[in-house]
Amino acid sequence: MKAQFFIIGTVLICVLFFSGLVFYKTGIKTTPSKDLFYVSENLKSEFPKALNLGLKEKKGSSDFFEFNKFIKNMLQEKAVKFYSFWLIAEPLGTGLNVSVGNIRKPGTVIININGDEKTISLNEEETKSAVFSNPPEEFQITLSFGNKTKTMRWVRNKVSLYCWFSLERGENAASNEIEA
Amino acid sequence: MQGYVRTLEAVFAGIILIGFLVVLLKPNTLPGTQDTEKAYTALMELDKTGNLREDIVSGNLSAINSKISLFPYNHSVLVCDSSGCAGEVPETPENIWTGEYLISGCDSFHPYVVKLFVWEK
Repeated sequence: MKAQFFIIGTVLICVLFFSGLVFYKTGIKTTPSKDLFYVSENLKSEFPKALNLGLKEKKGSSDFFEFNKFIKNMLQEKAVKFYSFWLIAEPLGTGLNVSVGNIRKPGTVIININGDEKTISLNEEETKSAVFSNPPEEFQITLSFGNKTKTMRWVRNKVSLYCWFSLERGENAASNEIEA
Repeated sequence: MQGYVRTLEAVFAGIILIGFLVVLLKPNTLPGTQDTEKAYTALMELDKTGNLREDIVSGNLSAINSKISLFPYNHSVLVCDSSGCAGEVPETPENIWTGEYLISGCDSFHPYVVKLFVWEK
């Protein structure tokens, strides 16, 4: 009878020991990464500044594109995939010059300004522009790209920006959009 | 009766053994989110108060370093643009964490990323 208790005791100890090992993961533990959130907040405040600096040098959309490429390269070092899509509307006489661009977000873009619709096909890391003649001073612009549709109300005599971006690293992801 | 005592002893032995293993196999915990937040917030606050961009563009790393206070930690900065980096990555066996801050320029367009390394003294 005594021996049976020893056996039960031994089994119990072994169960405790191995269940402890199973539930206790060894190795490096990390807290869920939140750095993407900080990068996202940083970009959200920096994109309008990048556009303004570009506009000062009369290179608004091309500098904005350069800034996006810079971000892509910098984040690549941190194993973060950067995706972005943007639309910049600049006054052009009584018309509007609309440029669109992307980083890792190619596809067809449909821009509709008060019923005047234009379709632009974007390759990866490309910018293209289209001119809308005589839009009203205050207009409604609807933008469709990928599975996203966005409607905004802008004015003709002001440079306007819409930018969507996403940051991905493994299971962590953060996306944001700016309208300025 | 002796059997019960031995079983109890064996259980105690198991608990001690598991306790020992738990302490021994304590995982290496990387710096937490709050540490990255500290570094990011320090850079963001400097930018908000207008004390960051000019120093980044002029490459005045010691000025940036002197404006940051993260007691009780050590810190250093590295500034990078598309052509390369200025500054030094600290060589320390301790855990280092980094906060990064991107800027598009100061008076003219020239993107930079400033990396703030923080480590325990």
